[in-house]
Amino acid sequence: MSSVSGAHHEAKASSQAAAMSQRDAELMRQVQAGDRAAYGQIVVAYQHRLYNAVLRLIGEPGEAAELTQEAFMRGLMKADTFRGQSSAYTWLFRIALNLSLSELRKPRRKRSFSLDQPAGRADGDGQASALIDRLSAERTSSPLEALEIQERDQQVLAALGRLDADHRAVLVMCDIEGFDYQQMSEILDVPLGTLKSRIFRARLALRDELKSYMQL
Amino acid sequence: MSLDQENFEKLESYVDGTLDAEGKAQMQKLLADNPQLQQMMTELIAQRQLLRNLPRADAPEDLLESFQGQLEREALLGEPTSQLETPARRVERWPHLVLAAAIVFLVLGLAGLIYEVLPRHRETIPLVFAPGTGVNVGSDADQIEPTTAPSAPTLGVSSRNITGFDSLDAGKFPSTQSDDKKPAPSIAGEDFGPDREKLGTIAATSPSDEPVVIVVRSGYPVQAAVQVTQFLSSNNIAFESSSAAGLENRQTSQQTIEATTAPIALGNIKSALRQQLANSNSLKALPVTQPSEAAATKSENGFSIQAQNGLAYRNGALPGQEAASGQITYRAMLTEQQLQRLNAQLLNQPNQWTEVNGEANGHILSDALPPNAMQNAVVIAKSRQFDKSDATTRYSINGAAAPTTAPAPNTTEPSFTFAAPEGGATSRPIAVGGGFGGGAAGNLFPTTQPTTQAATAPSRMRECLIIVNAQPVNFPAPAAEPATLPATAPTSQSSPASQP
Repeated sequence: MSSVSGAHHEAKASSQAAAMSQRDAELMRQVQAGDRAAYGQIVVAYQHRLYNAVLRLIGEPGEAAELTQEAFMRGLMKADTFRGQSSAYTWLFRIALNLSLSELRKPRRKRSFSLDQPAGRADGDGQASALIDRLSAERTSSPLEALEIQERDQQVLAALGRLDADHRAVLVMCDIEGFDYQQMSEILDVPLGTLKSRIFRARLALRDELKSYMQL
Repeated sequence: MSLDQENFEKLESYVDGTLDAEGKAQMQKLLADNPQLQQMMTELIAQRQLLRNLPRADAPEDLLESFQGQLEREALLGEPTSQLETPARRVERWPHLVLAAAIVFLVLGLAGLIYEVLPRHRETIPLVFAPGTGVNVGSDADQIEPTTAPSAPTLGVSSRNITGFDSLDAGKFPSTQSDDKKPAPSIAGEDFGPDREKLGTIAATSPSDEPVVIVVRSGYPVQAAVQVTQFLSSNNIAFESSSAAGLENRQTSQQTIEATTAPIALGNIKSALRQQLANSNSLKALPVTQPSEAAATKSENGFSIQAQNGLAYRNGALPGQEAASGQITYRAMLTEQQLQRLNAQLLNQPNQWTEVNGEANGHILSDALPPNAMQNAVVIAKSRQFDKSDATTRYSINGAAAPTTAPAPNTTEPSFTFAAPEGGATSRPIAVGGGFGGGAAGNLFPTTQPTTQAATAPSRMRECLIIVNAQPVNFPAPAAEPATLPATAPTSQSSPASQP
């Protein structure tokens, strides 16, 4: 019964994804024809998802917001290069990923992925922290459990932030964004073997980073 | 089995459920035989679960708005999208802007310092207290009036404007000039900076028989009066002050505080505070000198405490008294340097001397004034503070209240005399060392000053009228023709044309 239900859900999700992809492709065609309102629909549809991905890559909400906006802007600039071979989101994610990796490779001060002191925007918006607080509260029934989840998320984000940019990128793409190997290979423009090797090393690195926490 | 990449990939495929039946069976056998691989699988599952369970962050609310703003800017300015200033570029540019601003401030600061320190080389007209140009103090005259027939009330300081100088002699305000050839300085509409310069310029170049009028117009005038008083007192400058109408500040708001039970997320207190107060005239209005200021401050502190419990305070504002009122006038002898220091002091009060509104903008000149009415007036500042003062008071150099009549000069102390104006008003000296009250010795002026201001000796001392008022000074309209005003007619200024 459950397998039947699961298959049903998968089929439904697949159908929805196909519909979205078709809609995005149509919107992008309109954008290429000069319809900026169509691009606005793309932005509205994917702003949260893309921001979340960039935030997990960058770690700082303010920078993530700026890079997300920059990614959307570049997407508009390069709308003509969209060929429909991937979904609009995958195409935008690739732009955002390249921007994020460029930013991460700049020699800058060490980034902090702490949730307690999120490196927010200039106005001090601690969105990530607040969001985690809220979601943690929603997912749990007891304050203690919420606190534990918050602590856990903080440890994971901190460990993620200590990884190399490339390792962080593949883990975000794989486990947070849910891209498959083929999509990741295309986005990163690396052979499949290279990608698998990178994922393997990234998992080992994250395991090392989380070792102390996992042993608690 | 070692933990190599090949085994890991198989393991990951097994966890993903993408292995075929044969591969799945092989992996299950390996897992059963290899505790290390089992441990690896457990960790892999846990790791993936940890990442997948991370909360999803929503984009900031203003992201879409910012993006649309960029697009609109492009549409309005016709800039190509590729040339838009993107946020990332802005971030990279900030350090350069900060550095440039720091350099500019450093250069300006050094320039200002050099300007203040280096001796001035501008030509200075000797200012001499000559007969006919001075003032007397201590007279019983009721009104302020010129003792010489002015062709036009250029200074525009009339008895109905500056009231309360009951003790001032007729002739304390020297004859005014109606020389239309004199260019009227265009004060209105200029910034404070030019005014600051103008003050020194006027003091140096104006005829010595005219007092320098400094007008401080303020919606909150009392702090201006306090500043003037403090300056004069701290510089041991004897002065008179007169205020017929008590000063009342403009009161823009009254702080109130109300609590809200809207929950504030932990770790987001500051942001929540801003959001909570964004639509109210709340802490932005601080500092104000209302009684509730302490409460507002207290509430700000209290907010932090309460916010940790999931509560926040909201500050609100109630409309207050809108109009300021009153006027106070100071009269003193100041050197150019003192004038400039006073000017600078009044101007350099960023927390207190701020604009009340764009209309005032630090200037009192209005369209109703004759074009040359304020050629000696320098508007320097305005304040937003609050106090009350309504008494006509004289101050000695030591700050003690002065007697109503001026004492005899203390011959043992440096002193100067306001010479009798042309027309014969009685000249009475001001005791310098002992002040009006003739009390303890003190230096009203630097010791390098001559003990008595000789009529022909160069001097940079100027009589100054410092008017702090809440309304524009109503200067009388210039007379069409020169009129001779009777020295004793108190109301003659109001209708000079009717005089014979």
